[in-house]
Amino acid sequence: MSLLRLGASVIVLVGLLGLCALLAGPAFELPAAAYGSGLGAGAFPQFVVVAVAVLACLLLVQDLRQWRRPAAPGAQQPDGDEFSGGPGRVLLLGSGVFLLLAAFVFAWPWLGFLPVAIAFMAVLALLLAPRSARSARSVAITLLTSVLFCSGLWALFVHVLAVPLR
Amino acid sequence: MDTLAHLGTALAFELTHPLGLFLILAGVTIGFIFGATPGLTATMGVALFIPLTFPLSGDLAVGMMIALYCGSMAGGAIPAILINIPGTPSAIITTLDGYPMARQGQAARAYGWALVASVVGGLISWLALVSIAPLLARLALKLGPAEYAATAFLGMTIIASIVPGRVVKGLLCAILGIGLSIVGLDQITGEGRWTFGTLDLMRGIDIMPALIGLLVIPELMSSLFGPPAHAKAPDSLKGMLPSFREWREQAVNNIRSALIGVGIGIVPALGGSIGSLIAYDQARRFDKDGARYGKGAPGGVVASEAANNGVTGGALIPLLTLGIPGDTVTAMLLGGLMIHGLQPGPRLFETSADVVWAILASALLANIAIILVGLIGFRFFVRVLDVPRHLLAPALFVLAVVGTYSLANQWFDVLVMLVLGVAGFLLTLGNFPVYPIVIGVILGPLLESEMRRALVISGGDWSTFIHRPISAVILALALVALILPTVLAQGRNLRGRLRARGQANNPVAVENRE
Repeated sequence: MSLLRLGASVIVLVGLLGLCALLAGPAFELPAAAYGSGLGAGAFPQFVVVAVAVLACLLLVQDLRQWRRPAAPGAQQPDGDEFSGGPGRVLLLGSGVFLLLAAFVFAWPWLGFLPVAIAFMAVLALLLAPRSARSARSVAITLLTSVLFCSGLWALFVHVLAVPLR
Repeated sequence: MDTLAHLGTALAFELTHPLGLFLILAGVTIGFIFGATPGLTATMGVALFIPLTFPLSGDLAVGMMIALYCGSMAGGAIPAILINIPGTPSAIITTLDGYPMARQGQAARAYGWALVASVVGGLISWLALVSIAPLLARLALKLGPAEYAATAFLGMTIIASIVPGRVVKGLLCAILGIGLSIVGLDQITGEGRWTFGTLDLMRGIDIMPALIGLLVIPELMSSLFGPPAHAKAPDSLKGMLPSFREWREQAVNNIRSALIGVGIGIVPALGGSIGSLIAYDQARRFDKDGARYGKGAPGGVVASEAANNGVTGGALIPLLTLGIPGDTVTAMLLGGLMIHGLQPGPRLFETSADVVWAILASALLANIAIILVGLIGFRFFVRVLDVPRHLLAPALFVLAVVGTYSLANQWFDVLVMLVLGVAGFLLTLGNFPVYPIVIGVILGPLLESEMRRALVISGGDWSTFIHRPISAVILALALVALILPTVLAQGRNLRGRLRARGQANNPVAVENRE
């Protein structure tokens, strides 16, 4: 298992254990059994919390054992790594894109859809552009495409589909 | 006879409505674009275009989505043949013979075979859909709550355990999906579950924002890390389509592969790539030119494309009759159906028969439209490969955000999509299968409500699930689905270890063999 996959797996599993700790209280406050029916409103939440916690612990132990020991010869390997460019690029680009997306989502109610969407699309396009596409002409094309695409989308949703995109 | 009468009426209606025909052509064209662009998938296409179908009636909207699904399956062959990169995961087997044919100067010919095989595969799968779905729906109507709960459980276990070596991760993800579906007010008692006193969480987590977050955002993110693709259309398209005599030589292969695709499509989560792989393997065994497979044999292209288009009709069968989506695209279609007020399941054929038959008629027309759109639009679809990735991906992110917001005009839905998008990407990085979460979100409410209903009827007696024969058989199948992949994987690992130990004990034999 590559370091990237192992790190992501551990982050997910630790996060899930944290989530279980947070949700266990509200889940166990609800009744698991109901009169005459066998199952109350709390049965499924309690099952989910316990099952996720147990499976997450099991997988965490498995991950750590896999990290300490090389895979047995002939053992089945996980799927190939489809993320080219190494863990550094995945982390940098991945977190950058999500930060921009979060900025888009949170700024939207304050600044309005159109300016925020245009800014998001232009900045992300410039961030993703390869070196060969960073000339003044390419930047102008990127900005123009962002303005035209977002304006067109806004007009389509507001005027044709009657969605109030403020 | 009933089927033919329903179908005849629906087809006559579709053929006399220019808007319906236009939407099918538009759906197939958009599907081809999504299929022909590596990194974009049918799931993404359906998810992003569902909001644009709001003003349409349910039959037109879902018909267009199915056309998009069929178009993308056929479009995936274009980059597979021209640049050896499958446009959709299911077109990966097409690269084995399609690309060698292109390198031998037969790109147009390979594409022609892919188109014909896709259309024949699609039509056979459509025939299976219209013959099996109404029968299965009628049978499913006789099932009680215990059988429904068992069926939902079976759907989840098949999907959780289908990924080799990741059964525990699949199971964890399916339970996580159930957890997501629990948030909100309890369906029976009205008690808040994990709502933390907020109104937004009391409303629950809607399926579509969850699906867009879990499936589309990670796919978009993954597309950012793929290699750029450029292709050139063949200089001449003369002789692109095979003659009838040539096709007749491949007819058995085409039909057999399509039927394999249908069978694979019906089983949840197996999907087009497995269908293509099995069909390709069978075609190579039965073809007298089997040795040529992998070096540019048209039979290989036919087997792969017929099977992955055969999957489309097969995957629609459990969706329309049981409300269980066979793959990620049909999960999106389920969301689309629900947005238009249609609840997939056995009662759909009774309560909305007109709409269902109109959808089935659209599926037939979509499969026929593939050949038209594929021939006329080929050069354009090749040019789509040149659209810069750095402009396409941000535009699709904006479309995903707007599409999610427009589902209910709720900013909270966008937040759900963002959070689940980050989670989906992390899960993908950590080698967790995301699809079981989706199936958990979809089938969780069905499993819970039917299980509780069955227990109310039996007076809280859990043995009702075992005493009812159909429920017992379904549960036994679920148990087998859960245990079998682990047993098989353990067997493979043990064989590998024994082989390695044998080689270590006898290094001379290994050296001689080398």
